[in-house]
Amino acid sequence: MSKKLLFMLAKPPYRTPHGLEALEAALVAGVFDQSVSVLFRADAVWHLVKGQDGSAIGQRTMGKVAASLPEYDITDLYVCSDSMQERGLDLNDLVVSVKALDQQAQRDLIALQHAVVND
Amino acid sequence: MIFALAVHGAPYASQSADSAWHFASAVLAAGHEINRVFFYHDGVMSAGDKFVAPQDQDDAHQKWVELSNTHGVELAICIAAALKRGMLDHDEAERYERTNPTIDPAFTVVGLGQLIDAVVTCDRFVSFAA
Repeated sequence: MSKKLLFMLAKPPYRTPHGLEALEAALVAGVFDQSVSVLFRADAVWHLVKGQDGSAIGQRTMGKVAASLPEYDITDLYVCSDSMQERGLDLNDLVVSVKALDQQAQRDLIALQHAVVND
Repeated sequence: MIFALAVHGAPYASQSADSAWHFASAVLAAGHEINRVFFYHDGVMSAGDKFVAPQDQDDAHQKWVELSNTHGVELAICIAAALKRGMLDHDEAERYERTNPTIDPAFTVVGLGQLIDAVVTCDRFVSFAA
């Protein structure tokens, strides 16, 4: 039976592999036919910013990994609107279409889940 | 109630693994079940079979082995996270032509699908971040 799983990323890209490995888990959950959502908050919103090139430091480009999620039918992508605002970012700065959620909407999203998987 | 646990931090580097161990012990003592402890990210280091614990501290590796032996809890480590950190079981050491395995046989090397399986079949999923 399909369960609702939210992958909630808060750590910045490139400093640790946590974001990448959390997205890999999200992709596997998608393959397992679970109902997958991904929320980027705090410094994890940097995963989504345009103009990254991970090859400069011999790594995968996290923006590309994140942008590939819809190709695997993971389309419920969210960002924390406060985290975006604090970093001077808006949705046009991002590599993939996401929905911005305020704190209350994030609480509502979390309340809907069977489980939340952190990075 | 059925719990699934995820451990993200290496022993002696963060409190993640030790907190998870204490939580797991409390869960079992209270009569609940644990369907799997999934070691991810640096958490895979708990599976190492070459730890020498400091004399004045708990043996972070052996505690898991004893918990598993006593209660039959499955200790699962992510293969992708393990390989890139030099953590290989007997089969992987042979496959990649490394001299010795580095993982205690009490731990099972699995794919990420086993994390998802644990999460969807539990009542409560608790992760211990680094």
